[in-house]
Amino acid sequence: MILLRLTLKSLSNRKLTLFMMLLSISVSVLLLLGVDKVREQAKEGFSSTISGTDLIVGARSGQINLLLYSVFHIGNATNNISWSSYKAISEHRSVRWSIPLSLGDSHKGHRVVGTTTDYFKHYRYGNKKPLVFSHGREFTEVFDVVIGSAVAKKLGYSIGSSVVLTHGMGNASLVTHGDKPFNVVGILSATGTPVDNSLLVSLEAIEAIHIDWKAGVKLPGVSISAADALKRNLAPKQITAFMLGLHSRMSTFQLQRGINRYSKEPLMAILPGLALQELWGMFSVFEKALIAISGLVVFSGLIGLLTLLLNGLNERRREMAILRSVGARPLHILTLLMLESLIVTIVSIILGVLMLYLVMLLGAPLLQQEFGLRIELTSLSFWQWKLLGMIVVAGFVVGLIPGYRAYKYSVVDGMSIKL
Amino acid sequence: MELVVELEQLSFAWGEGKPCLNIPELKVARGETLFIRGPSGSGKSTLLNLLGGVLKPSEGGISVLGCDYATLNATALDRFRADHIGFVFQQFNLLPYLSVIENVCLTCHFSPQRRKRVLADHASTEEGAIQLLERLGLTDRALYGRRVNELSVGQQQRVSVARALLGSPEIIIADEPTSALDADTRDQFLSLLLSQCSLMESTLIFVSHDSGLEHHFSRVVSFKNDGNGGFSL
Repeated sequence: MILLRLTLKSLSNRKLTLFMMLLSISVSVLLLLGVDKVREQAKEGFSSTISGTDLIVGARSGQINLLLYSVFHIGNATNNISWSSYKAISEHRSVRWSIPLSLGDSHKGHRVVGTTTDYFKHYRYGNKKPLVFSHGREFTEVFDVVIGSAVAKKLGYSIGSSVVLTHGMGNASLVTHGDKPFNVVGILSATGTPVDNSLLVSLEAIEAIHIDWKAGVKLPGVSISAADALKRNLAPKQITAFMLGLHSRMSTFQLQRGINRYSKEPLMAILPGLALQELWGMFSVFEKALIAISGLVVFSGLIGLLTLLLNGLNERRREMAILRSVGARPLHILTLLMLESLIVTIVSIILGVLMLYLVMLLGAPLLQQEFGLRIELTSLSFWQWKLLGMIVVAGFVVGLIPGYRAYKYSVVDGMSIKL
Repeated sequence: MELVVELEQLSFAWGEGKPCLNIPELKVARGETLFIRGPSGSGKSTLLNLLGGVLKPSEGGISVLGCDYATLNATALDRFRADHIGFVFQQFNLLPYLSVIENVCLTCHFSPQRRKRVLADHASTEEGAIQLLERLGLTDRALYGRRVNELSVGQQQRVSVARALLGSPEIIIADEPTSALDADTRDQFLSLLLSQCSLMESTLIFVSHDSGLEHHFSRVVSFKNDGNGGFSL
């Protein structure tokens, strides 16, 4: 007890050193936990980009490729799916709902997704969260468009804005569908998923803007106005991919096998969860690098602590000699030093965790806004507690070094107060 | 005559070097006040560390209160020192981050025996400390809670005497405690130290280079240069 009190009083007598020690450790704790939190939440955000969907079906290619273009809107499909195949599969008895996706057009770098209103009904992300409109409503007319929150924010669109789609991906360089402008009727709330960056139109709209196109190029000399296009048959002939929700997850594999063996055209069905995992696995190098870097930050913090403890040691030889003269044994001196590093480490950890939550609280809106990274104020995970435990152990081990030196000093110096 | 300290054929050397301290014989009786005179660098601190059991002699034996140091291990020696010997050093031997009272009571935290002795007469160690401080002329109670570095050197030295005396150890060892004091305070301090030692029936071993203090003590011995690079008593 007296040792603990001596440690605390001695520490409070060295306020600047104490402050530096606390700063060096708590900042490294903040960084370690901060990096881990971002990693954890990025992973969680990533794997919750899509949920509730049992199968994604597209032309036969790789499962990562299919996942990338259907969910993340990255890359392109190798081939399309005929409407009849889609119809046949979506009417399978084990299918509860389906969302067709028709990709290939864009607007100022944002993907346009042709789909049906089932998209708003059945698409789920995160913890089975549905899409919510912040303004407006679903599309009902052919030239209605619903835009994601990031699109609205970045391009400054509101309900009633006019939008011209571009054929293919990219900005102004490509051919536009300038003759058939769209009207913004709805804006979705932020989701932290690629939905925020997309524009949703009906499948009929995709047909309508391509009515005077063939095989990816505008037919020369043919021009059908928007009004005329509406009078044509706009029933979709093909789509790019579709999502399926099943009545029972039990039938997932059976249906997947069926689709993969579909005889009329080469199709493939993937389980989004598994594909997401495989995709994240490709980032595992970065994940490990992040952990390694934050580990090194803690290491350097501990070295800082060690330096300060060792530096202070020489000045404290008098203090130790005095303690020896009043009956303290070298073991007491060792304990004193160990207690010091342990207390500093534990207090630093508490400070670091408090700083983490403060930063998360203040920084979350900024991260969401600037990077679309959703940071939630979650409690520390088991792994993060383990990290903290490891820091405590490391602090204890670091204390051993000056502790042992002080022990030796106190044996050699005895009660003579050397300077 | 009861002996509290017995040194015989003692020599001490650092490492494998030549002995720097030789003491053929030194006997101190209970209640004696012994003045050991020696210039600085003559091995006074070494002798104190030997008496405290912190250093081990290269040759010869030390026996304090009938206890042969050679039979005790380092931990037992530390305990023995804490229980039976009180130290007063030159100035600055108090812990600056503790209050006056906390400094005085420090020994009792490391020696259960001295703590017990204080508690035999007082309700708490703090009360024992206050009584001692008052007897040493520090009557202003406002001082007790202050940090020691707010005190004058003379006051600090009285605080360290109180710390050495609390729990009535059999032996008080003082190492140049007056070197930082001016002449007036020095004599006053010395008479206080001597009177308190006799009140507590403690034996006083006082080491100093200042021969002007000799007349206060019952016996004087001095370190002599032995011509071999060492000193002997």
